[in-house]
Amino acid sequence: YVSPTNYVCFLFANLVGSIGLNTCRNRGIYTTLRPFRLTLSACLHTGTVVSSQPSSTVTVTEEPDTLYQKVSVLVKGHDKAVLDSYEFFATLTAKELGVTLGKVFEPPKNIERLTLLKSVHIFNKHRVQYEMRTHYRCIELCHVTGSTAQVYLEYIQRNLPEGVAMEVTKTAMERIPEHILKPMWKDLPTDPPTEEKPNQ
Amino acid sequence: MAAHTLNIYMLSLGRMHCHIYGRNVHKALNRATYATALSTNNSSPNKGFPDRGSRGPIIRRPRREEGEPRKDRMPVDQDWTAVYPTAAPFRPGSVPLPVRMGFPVKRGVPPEKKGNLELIKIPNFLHLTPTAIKKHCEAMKLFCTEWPSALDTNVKCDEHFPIKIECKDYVSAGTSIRNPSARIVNLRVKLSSLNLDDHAGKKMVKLLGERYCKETDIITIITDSCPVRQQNYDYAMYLLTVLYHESWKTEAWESEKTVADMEEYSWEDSPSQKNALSTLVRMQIAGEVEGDAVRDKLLGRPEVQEYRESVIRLMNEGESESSILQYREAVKKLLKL
Repeated sequence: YVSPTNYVCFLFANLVGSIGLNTCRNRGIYTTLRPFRLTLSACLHTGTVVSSQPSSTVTVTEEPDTLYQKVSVLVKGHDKAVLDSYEFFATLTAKELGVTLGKVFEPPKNIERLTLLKSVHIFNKHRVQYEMRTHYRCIELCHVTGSTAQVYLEYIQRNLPEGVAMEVTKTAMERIPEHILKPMWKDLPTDPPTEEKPNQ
Repeated sequence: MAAHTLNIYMLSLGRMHCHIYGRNVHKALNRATYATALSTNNSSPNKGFPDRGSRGPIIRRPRREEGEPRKDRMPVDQDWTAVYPTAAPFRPGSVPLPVRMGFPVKRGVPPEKKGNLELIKIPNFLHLTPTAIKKHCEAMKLFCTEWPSALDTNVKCDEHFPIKIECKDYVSAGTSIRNPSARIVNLRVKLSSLNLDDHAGKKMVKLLGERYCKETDIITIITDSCPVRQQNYDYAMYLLTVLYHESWKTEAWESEKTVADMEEYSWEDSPSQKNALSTLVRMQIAGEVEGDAVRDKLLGRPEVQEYRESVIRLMNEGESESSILQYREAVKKLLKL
């Protein structure tokens, strides 16, 4: 599993913690959020490249990477042109990072209409109608590792424009855990359970 | 003399402003004009502006001259990432494009970019040009890992990693960044990938009830009872473990399973078998002795086996053209029509 070095984590942990992203916060598998983005932006301002010292900023841990069979990113917004530009940005990023793109499609828009009274008092025959249009765009990525997914999603989410919301659906693949491989009852089938069940 | 000029000054002030500020100021100024002998010289440097009292005079810094806009000094091969390194509002002086946006007046064109609020309101992607994206990706590639090449097809993935955990994350602007729906965990496994024997499989299906889909053979466990996603995940794995181990056990009351509880139709000891055999026995020549041997012989006959298979197919799969035809052929052969 790829992550930046611990001292960098510690330095920027406070800043990163304040930037609230609702991704992966509750999964026990991951360590703290990647703060590499801050080092990157600092470098981008000055124009220098991080890769001058790659070994000092990247650490590889032994814990196994999660594998995502599918990562589906659904963006919602009121303006279709903004979503078009965002889709171009997301697809180009995926190509540059080497992530395989699945389908990129546009679910049908949803229009919510309200008919309200125009006046504060009486005049029931005169109403005003409002509508809220929500456009959608879905970008599916196939066969992504946990590190790559976190890098891609964090980059995408930091560059999410104003007024656009996102919903990410991650389908992780896992092996069957060891305690489900074989039945634990030594003498099948009529013995009453004497052993404690796991995960209790 | 000074007092007299001050008088006129104050009166002029009063006349200019009374219509704006109402009667109170007028009254104050009137009072000021009566008490001329004691009035202090508090004329502000900004003539024509109201008296700010204890706050002091309004200091307006002289407006500095605008320099040449940046777009006039831009070479063609410049580094655009230096102009817009991060997300920033639209600056008409920094963008060298002749953009026009807005609703055009009658017989006119959309308004120009200078002082155009519409261009500032809309989110712009000027900081995310393809060059900028490529630069960012180059720097981010260090933290990416490759997908294992051995798992290229979905079939292989299902074989080695049969459990699929689905979670959703939500990003939106609002008073809170939390979304309570993010705690829901969806666990999907194929029943055939678990190590279960015949009895355990059937018991598992009965225990799961609605959570099992017969067509796709997928068990779906959706947990949302805990407040944290990790807890929901642990609970889902716990449920799967318990289901697995419980389905391997055989309880004492399971021996009371009736025909109505059976999932599949079995022809042995069914009314269909009894009817068929009794019909055949009656069809036999009366000379033969009835007994178990005759029954076994009859059961062994190929027509009876065909009939059995056609009945099982009808019961389990339902009625369809081919299954009814098969039953018809089997009956014809059995009764030698």
